[in-house]
Amino acid sequence: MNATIAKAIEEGNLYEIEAMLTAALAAGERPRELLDALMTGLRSCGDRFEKGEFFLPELIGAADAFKLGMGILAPTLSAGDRVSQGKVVLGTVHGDVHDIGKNLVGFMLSSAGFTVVDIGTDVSTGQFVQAVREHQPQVLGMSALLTTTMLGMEDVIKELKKQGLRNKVKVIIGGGPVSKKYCEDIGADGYGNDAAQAVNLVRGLM
Amino acid sequence: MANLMMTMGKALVKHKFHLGPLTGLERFMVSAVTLADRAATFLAATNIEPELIDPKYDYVLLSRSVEANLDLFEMVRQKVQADILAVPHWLGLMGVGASELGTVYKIEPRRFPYPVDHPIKKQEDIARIQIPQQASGYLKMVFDINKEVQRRYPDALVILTLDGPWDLAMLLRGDRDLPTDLRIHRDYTEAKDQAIRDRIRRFGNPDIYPAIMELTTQVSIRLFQLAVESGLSLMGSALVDQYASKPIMSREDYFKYVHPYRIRAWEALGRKVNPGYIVPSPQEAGQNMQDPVLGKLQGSFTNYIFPQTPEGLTLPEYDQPMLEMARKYKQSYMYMVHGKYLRDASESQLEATVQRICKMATEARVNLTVSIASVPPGASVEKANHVFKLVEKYGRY
Repeated sequence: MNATIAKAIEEGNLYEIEAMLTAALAAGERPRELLDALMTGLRSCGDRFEKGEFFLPELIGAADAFKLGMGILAPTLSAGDRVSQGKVVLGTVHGDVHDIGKNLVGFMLSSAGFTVVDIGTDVSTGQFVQAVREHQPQVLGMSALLTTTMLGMEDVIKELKKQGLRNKVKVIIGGGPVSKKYCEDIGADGYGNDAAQAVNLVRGLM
Repeated sequence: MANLMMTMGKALVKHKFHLGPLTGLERFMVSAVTLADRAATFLAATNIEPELIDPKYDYVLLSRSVEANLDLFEMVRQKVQADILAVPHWLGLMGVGASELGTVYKIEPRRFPYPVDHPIKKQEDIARIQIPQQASGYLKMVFDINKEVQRRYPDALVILTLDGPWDLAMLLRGDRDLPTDLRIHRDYTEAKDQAIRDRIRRFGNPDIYPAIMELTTQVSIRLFQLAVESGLSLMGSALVDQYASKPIMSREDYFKYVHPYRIRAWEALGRKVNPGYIVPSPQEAGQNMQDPVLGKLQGSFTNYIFPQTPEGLTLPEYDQPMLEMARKYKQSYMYMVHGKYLRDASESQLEATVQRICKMATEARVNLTVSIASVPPGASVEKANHVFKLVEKYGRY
C-alpha cells in the first residue's frame, strides 16, 4: 500500500490520494509510515525533475497531492512523527514577480524534508528581514529573474547585518541573472545555478 | 518588403563579386543564404538597460512617450557597433497585447515593467476578454515606434516579435495557474475511463485550458493582423512562446498541448510568422528538424536556453554538436552571450569565449551570429562593443 501511495504522490495523482490514505488508515496502517510514503513520493518526483523527466506541471501535481495527503494525515500524526531537516524562508525580491524558479526550489526542499516558508514574490527588504525575525529559519533563499531586481538581494543582506540577524541565518541566492561572482560580491553564503542544486546547497550550509 | 528583397539581391551580388565591404544589414541578409564575409552581430536595443545609455531615460518615461523610445534608439545606433540593431522599444515584450486585455503592469523608473494582476481568474472571465479590433495603448505605441524607425532608418531591420498563444495565456492567467490548468486538462484528456474523468472534475476544470488557448490563439493572430494594418511587414517576424519549454513543460506536452495552437496561428497568418520552438539542447534542436513545420524554418538554432555554467556561459560542450547540427541542416547559429557573463567576465575571458566560438564556426563553415542577451546594470555598452569587435576580429570566414 505504501508503495502505491508513494507512486500516487510521485505522479501527482491528487485525484485518488485522499481515498488511498483514508483506506490505509482504516486498515490500521501507521500514520508515520504513511507520512514516509508521502515524502518518498515527493522525493522521487524531485529526482525525476532533476533528471529532466518531470516538469512544472508534474511538480505542481505532486505538491498538490502531498498537500491533500497531509490534510488527511496531519490530525493523526504526533509531534515526533514530523521531523524537519530544517527551516528555509524563500521569496522573490522586490520588483520581481517571477514565481516559477522559487516554487521549484521550494518543491525540491520540501521533498527533501525541509520546512519551507514561502513569503511570495515582490518581497521588500523589510519583509525579508521581518520573515527572518519571525520564522527564525536556518536558511534564507532569495530569487530574482531580472538583472535590475537582483540588486535588491544586496540590500537585504545589508539590512540583516544592520539588524544583527546576519550571523543567525545563511543566505542563498538564485535566478537567471545571478552568478557565483555576484554571490561572492554581495556576501551571500551560497548560489544555486538551478533549482535542482538547492537541496545539496542547503544541506551543505546546515 | 520590396525594398528589403532588393537590398538582399544587391547584397548577394556585392558579396559574390567582391564589390566592396558589406554593411551590417547586407551581411545579415547574405548570411541567410550563404556564408558571408564574417560572423554577423546582432543586438535587440531593448536588451540594454536604458540608464546605461542615458540616465535620464527610465521605464516610466519610456512607457509614456514614443519619442523617448525613438531618441533612445537613436543613441543606441550611435553607440553600439552591431551589424543589426532591432527591437527599438523599451516597454517590454510582455506588455504588448496582454496589457490591452486586462493584465495589470507595475511600472517603476528603474525596474522592467512587471505584471501584478491577471484578468482570467475563472472560466467566465475568458468570455469577457474582447479580441482587439484596433491597436491601442502599448500595442499602438510599439507599432508607431517600429513604423517611425522604418521611416527614419531605411537600413534598419524591423523585426516584429509578439507573444504567441502560450506566453499570452501566461500573462492573462498567471504563471502558477496556467501550468495547473494544463495538468488538469492533460490528466482529463488522457484518463482512460469516465470514472477517473469524473473524479478529476472535482479537483479542477479541464475545460479552462483549451478555452484560454483558443482565446489567446485568436488574439495572437489578431495582433499580427493589426501590425500589418498599421503598415508593418511580417517579414522576419516571430511568434514568441519562450515559456513553453523546459522547465515549464515537457517536449511531449508542448507538441500535444501548445504546438497545435501555434501552428493554427501560423497558418492563419499565411505562414509568414516564424513559430520557432526554442529548445534547451542540440539534441532537441535536431528533433525539431524532423517536424513538418519546424524543419522548414530558417534561423531557429540558438543557445538561448541551453544550460549554463555558474558564470553564465553556455555549457561549452554544447557548441560543437550545435554547429554540426547547423551545418547538417544548413541553418545559422545564433550564439547568445548572456547578460551575467557579459557583466561578470573580464575582457580577456570574453575574448577567449568569442575567439573560441568564432574559430569553431569558421572552421565548420557555419554561419554564426553573435548576440548579447542583455546588457544589464554592472555591464556597459563599451563591454558589449568589445564583444562585437572581437567577432569582427575572429569571425572571418
